[in-house]
Amino acid sequence: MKTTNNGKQDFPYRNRELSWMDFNARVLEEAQKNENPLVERLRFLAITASNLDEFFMVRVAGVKDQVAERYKRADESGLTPKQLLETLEETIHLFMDRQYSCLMRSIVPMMKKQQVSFVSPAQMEPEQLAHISAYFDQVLFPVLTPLAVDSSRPFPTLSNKSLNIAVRLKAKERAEDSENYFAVVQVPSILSRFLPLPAAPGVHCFALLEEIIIYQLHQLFELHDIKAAVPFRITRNADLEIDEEAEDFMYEVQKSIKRRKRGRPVRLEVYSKIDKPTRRFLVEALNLKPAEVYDIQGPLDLTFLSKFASQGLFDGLGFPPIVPQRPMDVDEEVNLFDQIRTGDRLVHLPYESFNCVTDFIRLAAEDADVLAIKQTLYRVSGHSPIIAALIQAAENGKQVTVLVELKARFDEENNILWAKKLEKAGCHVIYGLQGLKTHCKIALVVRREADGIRRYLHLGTGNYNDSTAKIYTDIGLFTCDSEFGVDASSLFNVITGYSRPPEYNHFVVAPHGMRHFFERKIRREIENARKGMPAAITAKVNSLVDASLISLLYEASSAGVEIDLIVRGICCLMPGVSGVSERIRVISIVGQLLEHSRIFRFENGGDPDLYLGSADWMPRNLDRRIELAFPVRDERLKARLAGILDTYLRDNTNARIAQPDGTYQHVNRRGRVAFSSQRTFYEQAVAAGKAKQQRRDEETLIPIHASEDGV
Amino acid sequence: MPLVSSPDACGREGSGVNKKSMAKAAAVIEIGARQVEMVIAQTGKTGLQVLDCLVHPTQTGHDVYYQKKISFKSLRGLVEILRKYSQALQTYGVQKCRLVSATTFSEAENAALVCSQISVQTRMTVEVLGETEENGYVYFDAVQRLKEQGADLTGETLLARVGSGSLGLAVYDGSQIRYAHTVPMGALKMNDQFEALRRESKDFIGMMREYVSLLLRPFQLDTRQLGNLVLLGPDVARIAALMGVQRQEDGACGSVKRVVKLAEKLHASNLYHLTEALNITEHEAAVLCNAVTLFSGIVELCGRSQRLHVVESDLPRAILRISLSGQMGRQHQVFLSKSALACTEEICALSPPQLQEARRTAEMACDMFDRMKRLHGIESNAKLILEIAARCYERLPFDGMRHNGASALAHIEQLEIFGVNEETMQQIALVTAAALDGRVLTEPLAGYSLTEEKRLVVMKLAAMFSLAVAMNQSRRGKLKNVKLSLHEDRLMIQATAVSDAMLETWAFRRAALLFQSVFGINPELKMKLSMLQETG
Repeated sequence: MKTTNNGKQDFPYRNRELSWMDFNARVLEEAQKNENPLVERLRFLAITASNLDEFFMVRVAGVKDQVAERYKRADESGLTPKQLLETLEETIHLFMDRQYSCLMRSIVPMMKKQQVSFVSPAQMEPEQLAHISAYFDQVLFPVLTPLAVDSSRPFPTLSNKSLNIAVRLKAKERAEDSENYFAVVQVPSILSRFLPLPAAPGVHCFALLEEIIIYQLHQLFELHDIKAAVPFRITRNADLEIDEEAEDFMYEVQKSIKRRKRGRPVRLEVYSKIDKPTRRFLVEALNLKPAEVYDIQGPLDLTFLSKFASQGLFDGLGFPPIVPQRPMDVDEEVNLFDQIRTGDRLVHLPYESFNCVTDFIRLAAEDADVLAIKQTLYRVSGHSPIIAALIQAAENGKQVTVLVELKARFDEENNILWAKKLEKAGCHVIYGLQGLKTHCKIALVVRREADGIRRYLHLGTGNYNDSTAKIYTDIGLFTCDSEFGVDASSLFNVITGYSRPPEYNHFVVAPHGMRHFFERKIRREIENARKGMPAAITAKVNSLVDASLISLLYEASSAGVEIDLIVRGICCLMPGVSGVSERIRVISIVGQLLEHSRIFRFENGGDPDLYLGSADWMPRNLDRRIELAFPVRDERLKARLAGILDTYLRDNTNARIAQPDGTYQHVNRRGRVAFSSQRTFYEQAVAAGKAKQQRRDEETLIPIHASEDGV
Repeated sequence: MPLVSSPDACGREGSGVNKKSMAKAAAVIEIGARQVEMVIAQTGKTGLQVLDCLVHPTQTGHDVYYQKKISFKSLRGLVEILRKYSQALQTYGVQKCRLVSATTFSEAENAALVCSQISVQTRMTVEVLGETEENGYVYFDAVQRLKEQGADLTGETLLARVGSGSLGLAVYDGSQIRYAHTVPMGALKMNDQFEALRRESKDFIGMMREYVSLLLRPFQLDTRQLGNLVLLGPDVARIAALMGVQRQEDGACGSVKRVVKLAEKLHASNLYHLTEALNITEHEAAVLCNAVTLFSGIVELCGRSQRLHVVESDLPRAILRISLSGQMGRQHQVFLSKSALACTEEICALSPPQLQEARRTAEMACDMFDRMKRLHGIESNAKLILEIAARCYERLPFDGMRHNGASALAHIEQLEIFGVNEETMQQIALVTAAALDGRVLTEPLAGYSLTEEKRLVVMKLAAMFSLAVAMNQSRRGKLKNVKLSLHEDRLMIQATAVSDAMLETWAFRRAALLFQSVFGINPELKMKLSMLQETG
């Protein structure tokens, strides 16, 4: 890999932040698509808003820090932090304009067609006004706390991402000559953002909470004239700085979470019709630059649209639901351990149900012969059945070891809660490793059997989270291969600090060898291509950022290796560039489900190697995390996995093809039938489920006879 | 100490497993000079199935080299590691495991204190193995694995084990070890000794070669017809990787020249390249280089025309393989006994007549041992002491030493016999000396610290051995058809004398005093002259 003095690579490399913006733009395109159902468009729009919040809190904040520290070295794409920030701010302003254009010009009119609308107090009927007034008096008023700002009362420290109302006031008694002064009213986040209003049958009207508050604001400021009242929202730098060497790591994380809520503001969103004095007041109080202020032409914080879309108002206006089916490889009627003993099992989420994974842990918790359960947890759901099963296992006397990654960004609080519960139940809880995030997804069950100790494993590409398992595509493998078992024990020994990293039989573990592994695999394809042997790589990851691997992929392309990359999000590699990446194709699939599985196929001279894993091709995954990739060795499962990759590559509905200039274009169908990989997987799962049920129905019934002695 | 887990260790009810028939799991922890390793394994269809292997680095080797003792810092580290390992054991329901240490602890002046602290803080007992016990496990395991691989071990095979703190060489003849010797210098110790010179010397590896040549001078192997060289020790996996070895049809990995070539290659290279190639630290690379230099020196020592074998056998795995299989355990005992006798005969360099007499004496002593089992209550493996004592006795010069038990004692105690640990060697020496003096030396002598139990065993064996020696006092095998019968107050020995046995009768009366003082019964010897029988 060649790097120029200032950090820029001497090969095509798309800046990762801009590439991320490209990805969010692809999600926005889904919200803009007229052919997408209304509910889904609302959800896509909400996702873009939520994504952008996180992007500001971490990535934009990071670039701003670099600029503030006068860091001038150019990144791999050749942009200095200052140049990048300018480009980003311009891109984001345009992006947010597109978001609101999509909402106000396309989605809102479509909602109206469905007799659903948001109405402002000015548009309300008397009955509706009475309703919001009553709601204000009974519900809102008791929870509102106006905070005045003047020389003796500084601007309050507002929570990150909270919605607030800035109020410009003048004293009633001396209205003419008195100066403006300001107050802030926080919109309570514990209440629903939207309130259904009385309306004619079949018509659905809603009021936004901030508008109700503004309408009744005079009740809070009876002695003042309200000159202006506008909603605003602050996004803060939320990248945690944790002292990982602190004695009480959990306490340290808790402290950092508190600090995050008070991080430096990096974005101010205000309603576009804000009056000048109030705008000036906010900008000065928050010490923001003009480019950091975003004028919004509609309701702030669109993340509420996701909840709004899920109310059941728009029946039939969503994607046909994907209901997880019984896994084709797992028979829920038969003991899972017995099944795994007869062969490895693959489960494709969410087309196939996550229940088999929770059943696996539950079964282990209840099985008298299970000695120990070890598991990593990165992000878990609110009422996780996995956690419940682990607690039960500990109560049943099993040795339960759980690594709860306290540093999982934005899940820290949730994870602290679970860690405490698990510890209380008697589990051995590890909070993570110093300097590394534990991102691998692995569950190990040690069971005593007649022929000795046997280890059962579940290895996955996604988190042990029953909620996200319904919307994220992931793949899991159940196996009791003894060599995998040894590797799993070794990995847990490393994670628990019991042993130094070993040489694994089959596991590929970051940060001790994953980078070299992928480099070796790509190099082997290069060698094979040069020898005239079949040489190809197919990789499905969420992000491709690592400059070293990108450089190697360019080299592979030049050597004749055919490369297909399925990259949902950030992709810094630029495909199809003449003389560099002509043999590389990149597609991004953005659809009903969030693509999350990581699959790797290396042609290996005609005998393909297939791997699954938890890692993306990013420096953080390869160098700063405990990640796991593992081979799928069973020929039947290899074929299935290869089929999954091929199905993705055939997608002409949700797939977009990356262009040499960094833009993405939809696949040109040229009269071909629409083909969606996600729908196809689902149809396959449904068909397999039906076939299984049919086989069961056709099984000969076994009549029960009276016993011979006639009792 | 029970090595194997109790089947119902977890006390769970409702298990579907027949606990009596289930496969056994066991664990061994070795505190080495560089690392503490725990191996948990079970018996599988294909032999030993390693369930888990935990490795944690330690500084004990350095401590012992520089300070002659294990530091308290290292002790605290060991305790912490052992506690973690105890938790890891619970995963497999293995509640107890063997905790062993060899050179590191045997050389540490404060080993007893450290063992005591470990016991108090972890409830684990450290077994300090002598070199011969450690090598006994590893050599046996290596030979078994070579046989399983179908290796051609025609002729004599040199087993070369380069450890962290010691270097062992043994000659295997296809059935047993015939020669074994250990020097207290290993790859890590060499590094500790010469580390400071590494940067000062222009030709450090050249100097190391000279040192190794000196170190290996006492081994006289050039007269042997060695067909195979087997590399053993903690670094052989990496050495094999560096040599790029691939096993051939005869189980060998090519010629021993590969070791010399590797040594030359490393000589021409530097440590940095090694660290890069193997992803190891510079210190690990330096130790690895030392191991290669030592192996290369061994090749130079014994000629280059041998087949090379590399066996990754370490102490924990060897112990587990032997412990988990009853059959293997018995074979190991037989191997050790046979090897001990073969090495004794090699060391004693007995002439064929001497060997014949030694075997005759041993046979009589062992016969007596068997007959008197209900009276002495000693485990039958103690017969090896009698066997070796008979051979050692034969080696003693007739004048001087034979009449001086104390000097014989000192002489025999110095012998290094493979398969016999230091304590057993002391017992052998005492038993042999008692046959000379007609009494057991019970007053404390330098280096002797036998327990009361062991001392009693020595007394009983000495009493029997003295009688056996007496019955062959003239070394001419005069007594034939010896028959023993044990009665309430006497041991009746009947034999046929092929010629006048006055000397035996005199010696027997002398030895009978000791016998009587130990067992409280009177040995009686009744002889018939074979000439009378024939004529009568």
